[in-house]
Amino acid sequence: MKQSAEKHHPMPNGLPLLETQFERYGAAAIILVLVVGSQFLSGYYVSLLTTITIFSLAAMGLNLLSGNAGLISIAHAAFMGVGAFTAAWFVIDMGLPLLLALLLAGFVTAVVGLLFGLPSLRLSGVYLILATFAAQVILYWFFEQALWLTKSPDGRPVGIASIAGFHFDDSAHYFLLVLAFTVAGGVVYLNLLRSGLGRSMEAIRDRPVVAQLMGMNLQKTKLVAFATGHFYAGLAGALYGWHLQFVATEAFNLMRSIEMLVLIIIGGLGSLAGAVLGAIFIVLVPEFLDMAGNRLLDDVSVIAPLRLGIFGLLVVLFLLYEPRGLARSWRKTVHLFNNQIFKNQTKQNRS
Amino acid sequence: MTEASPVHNPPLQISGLSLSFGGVQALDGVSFRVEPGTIHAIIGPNGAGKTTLLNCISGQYTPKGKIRYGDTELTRIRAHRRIKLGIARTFQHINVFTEQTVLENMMVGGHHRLNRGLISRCLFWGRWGCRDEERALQHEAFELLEKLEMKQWWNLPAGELSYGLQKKLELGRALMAQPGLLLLDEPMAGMTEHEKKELSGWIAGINRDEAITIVMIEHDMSVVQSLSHFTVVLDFGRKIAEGTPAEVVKDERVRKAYLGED
Amino acid sequence: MDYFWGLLINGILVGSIYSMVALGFVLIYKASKVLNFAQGELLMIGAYICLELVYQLQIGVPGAFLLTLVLMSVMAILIERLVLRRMMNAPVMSVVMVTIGIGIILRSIVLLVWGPITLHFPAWIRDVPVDLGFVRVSVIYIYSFVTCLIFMAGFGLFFRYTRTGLVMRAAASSQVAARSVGVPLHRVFALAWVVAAIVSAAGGVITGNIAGLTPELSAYGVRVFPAVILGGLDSIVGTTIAGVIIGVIEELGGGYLRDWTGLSGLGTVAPFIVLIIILWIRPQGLMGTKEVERL
Repeated sequence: MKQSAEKHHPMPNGLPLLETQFERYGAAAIILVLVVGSQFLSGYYVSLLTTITIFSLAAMGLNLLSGNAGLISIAHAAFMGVGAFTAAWFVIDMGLPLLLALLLAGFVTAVVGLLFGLPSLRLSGVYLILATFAAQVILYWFFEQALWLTKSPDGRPVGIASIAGFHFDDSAHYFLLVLAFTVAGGVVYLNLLRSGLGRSMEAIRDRPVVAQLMGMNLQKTKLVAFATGHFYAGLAGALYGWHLQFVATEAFNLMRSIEMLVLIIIGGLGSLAGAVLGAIFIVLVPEFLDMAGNRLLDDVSVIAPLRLGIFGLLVVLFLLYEPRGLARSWRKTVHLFNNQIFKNQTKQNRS
Repeated sequence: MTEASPVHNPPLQISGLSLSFGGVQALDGVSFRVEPGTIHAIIGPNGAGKTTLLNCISGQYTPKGKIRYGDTELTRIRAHRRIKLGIARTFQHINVFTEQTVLENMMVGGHHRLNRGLISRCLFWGRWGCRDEERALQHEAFELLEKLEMKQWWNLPAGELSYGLQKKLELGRALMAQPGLLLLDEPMAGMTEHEKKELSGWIAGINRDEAITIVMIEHDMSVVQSLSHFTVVLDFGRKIAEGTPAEVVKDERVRKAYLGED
Repeated sequence: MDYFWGLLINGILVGSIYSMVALGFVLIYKASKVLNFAQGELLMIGAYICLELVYQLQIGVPGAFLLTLVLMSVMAILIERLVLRRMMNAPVMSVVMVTIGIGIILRSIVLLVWGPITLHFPAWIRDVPVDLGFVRVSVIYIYSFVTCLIFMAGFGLFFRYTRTGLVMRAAASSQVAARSVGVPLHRVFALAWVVAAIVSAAGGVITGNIAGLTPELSAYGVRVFPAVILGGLDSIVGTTIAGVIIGVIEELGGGYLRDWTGLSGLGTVAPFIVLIIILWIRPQGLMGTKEVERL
């Protein structure tokens, strides 16, 4: 990844949210297109978009935790489940307004995440992987058993989301709510990365000894990473519940947690683009495989395992041949375009 | 040899420092005193316990004995708090953050001076945001890079710098901490003669101008002689000699242990 | 009382299978610091291969079993050479994910070839209960338990007395030291995978003989995690003992705790709760080395 100094500004420009002009205009354009376009799409595509957007939000949390801080969690879906069920409980059983319930669900999930993350304060990464695996098993079992919270082992219906009397009965409207949360989540993610927290998380990941001697508190940084990462998970899980109008236990199983990790690896570890690109990949590829499968094969009993196998194969091939994920390819393209389109601005900046 | 400068840093007093790893005595009753504003060299053959000694001062190891920095007993202070007392260090092997940019590496050095909490980092902008202190730190880091004549690489991943520049970056990162006591572990190792000369100049410069006390491990005797005010010789975890560099090289035991003469 | 003994015997048998699978897991971890999430899938596919050989070649279960071990060894070498060797310097997360990916591929193969329904080995031993004095045990259980013991003892002797075994132990305790005395690490890694595949396949065939074959057999792989943590991630002896303990906890937990608490599935979850507690109070496990890469 040889970058010449030429491509960059000659001076640091005060920690902008997005580095290049192309990214700034691009992000604004994408959001605009999504806001307007989603209102004209059919229900199927809106649903796909909503899922991608929610997964992006969840993936930001996992990317913060595993990508930036290097604390690998194989239980992210279970924590999304914690958020989904607690939010449902706050709204339906406690009668709290939706927005408050969403935030509270995030906080509850952050606390639960902290509890399972505590062993990692003293231990190295492999132990954390096993601890989070245990968290996945224990939490999933809890969802199936704790009927006071989850109503049935399969999950609980939550109906249509509504805020201050406004009912989101049009899925395109609900998408806008989800998009708002995800954009806010993305901005906060970038803020954290360009602040001292981002530097200290990557420092404890790459060189814990140096980080410590530079005054970073390893334990505290890890706790903050656990809390923030799982806040995202809880919020995204809760939004997912109202997207399906049913908090399904099955949506938070081990396979989904694995998918979440695959998502950030294929997308790109530790970057916002990675979370978004990975979410697009993880939602669209199975969808595409299903479509192709239905077209080409008659036997339903073959499609599901074949899809599984192709998914596994993609994971292995990606790790072997593009271990740094789609975001890197994306970044290259961005730099290329940025230099082509915004040549003039960059030059002006320099002079 | 340069003149030691008058300063207000506290002295470093090491007394009776001992540490063993599973039967191997890495340090055995080492005592010496580092006067404020001086450059102190620690020399000795491989495995003499030099890096171990530095690790004790910076906090990776908890030894028996006392390390007093001014009025503070360092052994009671956790590693990540020692930088606040003004103790910073570099490492024998390259320890920059290779994927982060040069500027970000520098900012890590000043990390302990950031005060804002999680919420203000989430917000970044506005009255409650952390933008101002972050920008100030970035600005300061860039200015120091300029002084180090490295500003043209500020946005390059640190791993792409040459070996010598990475070593220099580490020194810059430590300086960002605004230390009163700087611990350098073989800062010249692997450098060309030209780079060594330049870096010697830098080290003497920061010692003189910023009044930073320096404790450094160095193998190159010519560097030690030209740079340090005082030298401690370790062998098998024991202090076998101390004095000015000129005195030390004349010492019988030192010649035997270190310079390989019988 | 019979209920208790029944659970206990079951627990010991399941536990001894855990011990075998955990042996493979720990061996790979010690040799290459890889957490092998495909261990359960190796067990599963081993059982299915054996079943296929029994029906295709008509050579009886014992013969097919031995042939399975050979085929599994070949597969292990292929996995190690084609995938894991190329990831030797990759970060922990990538390596973990690649083993998960391999596991998923193996599971999809099983689903494609054999489907999700439960299959059975042909009955090849007359299933007569044996009276041990205090409890009657099915003879298959006895055979299975003895087979586990033979495998564990076999590998115990292998590590203690053969040159290759000694080399593997040396490499496992210190890669740096092993490299400096000229131990070929590649071969050690490959061998660790072969051993892991063999013990897993053996576990799979044993379980398959008792309870039939479903893709769910792969769950054994993750169910040994508590045993691995309890025993100590780097202790082969510790994990072996812990495997049996966890098996017993699972069975007794599933049996009694359900009656007491009215919660189903507590048996499989209980070991994971134990895992979390162990990580809190004694992270090095029963017999692992105290230095657990603390920070």
